[in-house]
Amino acid sequence: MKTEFLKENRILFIFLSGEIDHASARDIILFADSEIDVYRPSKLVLDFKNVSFADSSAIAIVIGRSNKMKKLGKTEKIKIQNVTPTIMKIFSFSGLESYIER
Amino acid sequence: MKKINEAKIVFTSHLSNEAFARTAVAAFVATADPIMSELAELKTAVSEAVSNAAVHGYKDKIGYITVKMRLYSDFKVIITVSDKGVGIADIEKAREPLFTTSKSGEQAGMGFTVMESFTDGLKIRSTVGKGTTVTMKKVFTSKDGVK
Repeated sequence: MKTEFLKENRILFIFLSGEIDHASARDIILFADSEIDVYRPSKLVLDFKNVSFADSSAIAIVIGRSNKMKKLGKTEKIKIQNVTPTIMKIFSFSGLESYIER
Repeated sequence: MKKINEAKIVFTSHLSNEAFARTAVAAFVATADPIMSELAELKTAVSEAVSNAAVHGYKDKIGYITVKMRLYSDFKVIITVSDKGVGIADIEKAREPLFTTSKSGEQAGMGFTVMESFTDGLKIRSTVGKGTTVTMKKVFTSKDGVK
């Protein structure tokens, strides 16, 4: 699992890749949190283009990072982009559709 | 309907085995030639069941998880995931969306919701102190597009 990021105009893009499950989620959370702490972005974008599989641990990643952005006092919080239909369904179960960038 | 294939795998509750379990199930159902989205849904449901067994069933201990797979001639697959962990005291509560026993704040509590939504039938049997068995049924769309 290789996670890349891009920092641009106070927006932190995190490009997730591979399979996201409860085993890999821990490393993703650690990575995202440390980048958020360092950069303190005004907006966080999680990109799922190269994610081949995701289970409900992806929900925890999104909700947890959203809460972290709120704690930093950021209003625009978080966006999710390039999700497959199956992963989209998982997010919709927990009402995360509004985070999805179309 | 006629059972056309059956397999059983047993593995330890290390989280890395989640990927092993869902990949094994995907390989097992390959002969039924499921469409991509249905295969992705089944893999996700298996992943949820296995992570439940590992994270909640065995908590900090390592135990064995058994996944049984049965494939039927009418494009139906039955998957059971069992552990001999702590069991679930209140199954109805565990099935509620967002319910979690985890205190880390990094668990979504959506495992059973995903299993339920991504399969065509979910049954949970559990005895506190003895373990839990989750049975999932998935009916694949057949070649002529009929369920």
